[in-house]
Amino acid sequence: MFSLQRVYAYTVRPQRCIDKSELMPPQGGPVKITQSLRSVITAAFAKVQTKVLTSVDFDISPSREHPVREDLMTIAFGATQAPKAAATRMADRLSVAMDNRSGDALLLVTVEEDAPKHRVSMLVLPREDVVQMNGKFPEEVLLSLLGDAFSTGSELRKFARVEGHESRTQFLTAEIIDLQLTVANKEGADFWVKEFLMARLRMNSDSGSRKLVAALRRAFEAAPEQNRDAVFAAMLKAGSGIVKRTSLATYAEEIPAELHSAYFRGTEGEVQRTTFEVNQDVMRENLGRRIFETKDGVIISAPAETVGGTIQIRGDAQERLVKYEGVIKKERVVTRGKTTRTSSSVPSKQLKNEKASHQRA
Amino acid sequence: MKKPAISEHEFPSTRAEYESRFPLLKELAERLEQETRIALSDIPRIDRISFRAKAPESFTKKSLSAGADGNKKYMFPLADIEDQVGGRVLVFFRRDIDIVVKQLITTFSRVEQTRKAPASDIAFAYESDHLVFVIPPQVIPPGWDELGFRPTTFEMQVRTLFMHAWAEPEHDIAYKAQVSLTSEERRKIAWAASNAWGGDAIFEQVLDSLESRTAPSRDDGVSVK
Repeated sequence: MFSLQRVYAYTVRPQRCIDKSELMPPQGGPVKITQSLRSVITAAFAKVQTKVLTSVDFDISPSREHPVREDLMTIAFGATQAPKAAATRMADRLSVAMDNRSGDALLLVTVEEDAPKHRVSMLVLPREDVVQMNGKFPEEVLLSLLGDAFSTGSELRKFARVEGHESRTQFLTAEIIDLQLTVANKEGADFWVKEFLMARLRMNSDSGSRKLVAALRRAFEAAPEQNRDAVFAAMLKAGSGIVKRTSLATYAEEIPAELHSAYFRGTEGEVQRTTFEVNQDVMRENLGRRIFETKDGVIISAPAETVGGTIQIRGDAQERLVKYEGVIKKERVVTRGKTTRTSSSVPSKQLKNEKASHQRA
Repeated sequence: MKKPAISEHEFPSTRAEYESRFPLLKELAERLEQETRIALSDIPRIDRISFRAKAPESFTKKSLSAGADGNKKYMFPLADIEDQVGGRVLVFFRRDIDIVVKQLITTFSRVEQTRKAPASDIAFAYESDHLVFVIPPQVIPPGWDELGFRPTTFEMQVRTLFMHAWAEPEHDIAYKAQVSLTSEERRKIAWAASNAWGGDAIFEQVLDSLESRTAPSRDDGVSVK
């Protein structure tokens, strides 16, 4: 069980567009841990539900260097004055990453230990009225800010946490809360992850999009007639370009709750909550057609956007009717074979050369 | 930085623990291979992609190895040995290495990247691109989170068929040799490496030559590359 070891607090001013020579250093430093503060922080962290966290990987150089990660490790494991200096550098870094759309904020850095693991958490509490005296924060101000942030969750817009033992293989990934991560505004979305943490989303766009395709297909196949249109609407939305970033957990809000078990089937916890960039091509390629098969064996393969347009669905939960009328462009005769209601999951491609090699053999 | 006050004796037997989790590592290797195949599916001239979980014997040997200072190299080997799962991509030509590496870096989060090459311009020896990536969430098998100390990274090698054709037998000889190689034997192995290097170099020249003759022409008749 992690126990609180150290706390640092800084007032951080947005100084992104300010000349380097005019930068104001952040005010603050170590905070004395009282029993009240320990209780509030412990209770607050218990409220950071795993389900709301997403994860990012630090964007590390070829020679395994990353200034944020290195400072976080120094904060966690450093001796004497090194952790304080590293915490101050984090406050500096945050200050120059914030532009004038942000007000003054309180950066709180905590270190916990559960040997051999250490855990560093960073919270940004946006406040115009952060009070401090002689570089020190009155305890009641900290208690009040933390209490407010975690009781409503509304003020806790930025949170990051790393944990591990002291090793080159640790502190490579951070768990974060970033309410702006999925907003359409790219600058807002990039500020915490890209600019400040110098990190990237942990699941790449193609993989995440394929996971979403598979989840939506599972939900569609499990959906009773009356819910099918809702799932289909979610499919259309996913491929429309409106949704820039999402996670399986976030996108689950688009489909009826009774289909969530099918939607999430076979996915583990972290995959569900990891945010990814939605790849429109993957979505459109794999969810771009809706196939209808009628009782008399007629099959209609319709581009998704025609459903509700030239393809009309009517009826009720017991019996649904599909109606289509259009000009014939081409027709052909094919073998009469088995058909399925929906196509299978995303096929894996075989490597071109392996295929050619087998053919040669 | 001070070392954590912890002893290896506080942890369960490394070998037994590794063997018990070996099936999970194999499943992770399979999932990573599938993910890599999808990521590289549009890139031509890839001969093969393969992943493996490190054999328990090999892991145990590595876990007991010493660092440059003579101390135990891995304090927490179950977490800190990075090639518990490793992959390899073999490409036809030297120029394909950069293309594959670029795609891998887009697909996975890089932790380290090294181009292994002989120490001197007048030497011939092992060549390969080595990469370390963070294990991504979409390949993590069920039960993984229940492991205490567990790897966070995996290794990948990208090299040409010629590089591989030299590296594999050389590794076998070096690994199994009961006695030190003589100067003459080392020289012969270096000669074989020079031939592998030469094979890659000649194919590059042939490709350049072919491309110069098949490149599209501009309207003014000047050939462009």
